[in-house]
Amino acid sequence: MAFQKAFGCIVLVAVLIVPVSAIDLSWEYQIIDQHANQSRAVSLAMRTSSVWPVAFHQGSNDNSNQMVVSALSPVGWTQQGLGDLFDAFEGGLPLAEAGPDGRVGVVWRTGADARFAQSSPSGWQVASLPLAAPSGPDFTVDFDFLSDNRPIVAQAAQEGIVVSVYNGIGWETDQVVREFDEPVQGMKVSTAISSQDEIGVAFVENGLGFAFKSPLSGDWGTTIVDQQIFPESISLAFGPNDETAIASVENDSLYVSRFDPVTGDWATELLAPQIDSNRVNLVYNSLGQPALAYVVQDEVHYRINRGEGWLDFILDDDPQIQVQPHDSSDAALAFDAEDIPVISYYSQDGLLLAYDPIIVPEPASIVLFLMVTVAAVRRQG
Amino acid sequence: MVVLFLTVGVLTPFALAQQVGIRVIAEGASELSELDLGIDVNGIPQVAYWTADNELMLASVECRTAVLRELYAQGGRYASLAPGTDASTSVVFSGFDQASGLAYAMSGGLLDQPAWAPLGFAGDWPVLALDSTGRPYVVYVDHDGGMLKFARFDIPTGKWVVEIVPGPFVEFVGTRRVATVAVDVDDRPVVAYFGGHRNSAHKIIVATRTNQGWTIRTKDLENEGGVSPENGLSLAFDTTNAPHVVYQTAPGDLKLARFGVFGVSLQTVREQQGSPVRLGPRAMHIGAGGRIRVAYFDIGAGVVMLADNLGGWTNEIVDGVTGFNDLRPALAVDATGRWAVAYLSDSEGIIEVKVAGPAVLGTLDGDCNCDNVVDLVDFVELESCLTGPAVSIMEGCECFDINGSTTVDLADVKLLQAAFGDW
Repeated sequence: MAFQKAFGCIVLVAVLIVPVSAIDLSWEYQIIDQHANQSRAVSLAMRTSSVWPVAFHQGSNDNSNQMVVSALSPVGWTQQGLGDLFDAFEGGLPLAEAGPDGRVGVVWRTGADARFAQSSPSGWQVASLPLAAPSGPDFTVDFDFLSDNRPIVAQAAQEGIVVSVYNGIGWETDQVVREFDEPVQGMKVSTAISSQDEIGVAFVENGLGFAFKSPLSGDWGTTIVDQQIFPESISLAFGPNDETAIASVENDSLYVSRFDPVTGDWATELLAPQIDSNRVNLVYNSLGQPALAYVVQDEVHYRINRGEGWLDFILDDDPQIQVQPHDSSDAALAFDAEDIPVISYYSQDGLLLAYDPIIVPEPASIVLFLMVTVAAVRRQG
Repeated sequence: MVVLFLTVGVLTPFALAQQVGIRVIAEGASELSELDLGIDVNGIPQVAYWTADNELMLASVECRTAVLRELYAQGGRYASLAPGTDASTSVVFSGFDQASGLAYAMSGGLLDQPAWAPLGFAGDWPVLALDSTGRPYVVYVDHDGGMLKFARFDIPTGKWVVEIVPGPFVEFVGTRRVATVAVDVDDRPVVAYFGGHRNSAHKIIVATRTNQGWTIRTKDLENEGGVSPENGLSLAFDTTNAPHVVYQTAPGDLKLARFGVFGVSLQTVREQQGSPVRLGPRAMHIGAGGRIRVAYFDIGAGVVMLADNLGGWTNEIVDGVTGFNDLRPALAVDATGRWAVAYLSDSEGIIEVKVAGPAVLGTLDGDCNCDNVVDLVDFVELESCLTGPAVSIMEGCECFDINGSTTVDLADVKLLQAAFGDW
């Protein structure tokens, strides 16, 4: 009897010792910018080996026409303007990524050009590149970093998709995809870099398409992902082992299209029939699990697929901060160095950061539990 | 300036006259000021110190100039500095007024101007360390409870989290700088401190903070000379991740304790010279090949010293210091192995902030491009500044007025040629 009780206690201790799943724990909230309560667009990246969160968003008050970067450091959240912002919606939306060496970058559109900014030891560096012509306010830009930390910027234009690579001196431009048969309005584009530095581009033309540059021939090949959807927003991501997926928002419905290497086909599934965020960013964690976040009414949803379907977690309340999101707010998602999700979005209290930390039981509590267990067993004996 | 050589006891005599430069980078420091030194990722020495006007300043020691930035202007004390891998520099201090306790200041990197924020609690003798991702760790003494505490910045909450450093810490009345913190090879914070009984400090404790808690190692030195807690200690790691702690024994030997896998070994850095030394919390560096340097202040002789174990321990005078009997020099070594030492000195009532060492560029007369050598490259530049004895110096040519005559002429050319260094 004493042994059975001791065994039961030992099992319980083992459960305590095993780190509890981060997904099941409550979220920590911080206010990034309490004045930023009118905008909706935000993009998030993790700086310096995925440790320090950096949010890119529209400025507030006198800086409302500026792209602003808010970065967390031991002195708190510091802000800096990066340049003019064309519009908080559509083409002017910021899109951020983290580079292999720990830098973070962002791309957005102004009225006259596309802007790229990145962190560096000498501060924020901002560069301009011309818009692919002819363009319009609804044509988007996106970027990613190569393994040598050079940025790749993809732009949509009426004549097709254009990809520009920074060579250290200037931008080299490559025409992706054929010229469109008819002028299109509001072309959307998303780009990502594979583990082998290959460029992938997702775009919308006659449905959802995917383009990939052959490392052997140097030619761009395109494939139809789904002819049934015509998304207003798309997000392409590669996993650590080149898993490939595209998240799309069409008429407020959220879809995820994933390439199955076994069948050689793309498969699209409806993830959420009605969301309020105008766009999402799809990311993979280091385990190759795709994830994204979005707003539905007054809830922020965090979705992740660990291999057995998409899980759905709703961010919980906080006693001190109004965490209910603004209608149509972005919910920008990033993972930290330990695959913990970090989400930035807008609420009535401003621009927020939600962090889901790991909690490891303190050694003292385990020792105390063991002592109590031993005492209980001895008493029974 | 020529550095004098000092042979010590049975230690291997190492007769090398080394020429190092010394620069006064600021004047008007507070005589009570602590200072600290680090070398940033660009190889620029950074010095934090307090002015007589109660300002916390950060001096960036660049080529022939020191760029001064004010970090905090409402008075305070302590200054523990750590350079970040993003070219920022952080300083922990205790501020009066608005700071009201321990505070954290940053400059450079992604900040367009210096910024500071309170930690939210008070403490004394803080020491700051940063890991490779910029996560800060602060160890400090909480006098209210007589405890040694450890603080880290929790990124998910954006707040500082404090815990007590375990082990036999004893707040020795009247002592200072009895603990320090550094980051080991595995990027973990490690605290070293003195422990023992209230009236007898005879232990060195090394406590490593891991994700699972604290791992503690203790060396009892009661039968090996004990320790002098008031003289301070410093901590560094060799490439095997073995902690090294330098300290002074009660009789006065300067010793080094290496906490190896199979035990703690001791070696003598300098046999007792009849006067105590002062060690700062950042006074030791261990290079990739195991070369160890220690900077300290010899109170009796009134000199800043540099101990070096290249081929055996040598102890050399870096500079004589006047007006201080409690000075704790700070040591830093750059990526190429060049060292720098920062300290205060009283020059006829004006407290100077000085830095010495080969990592300090622009200390050689005529080395106007600050590459630490006077050569034809400097000569070519001088030629463009050459105007003759009747014409005043052109703007930007001040460096080539080697004899201070307010002109750049053949006399300066002669001095430059005489200063030509080795290729």
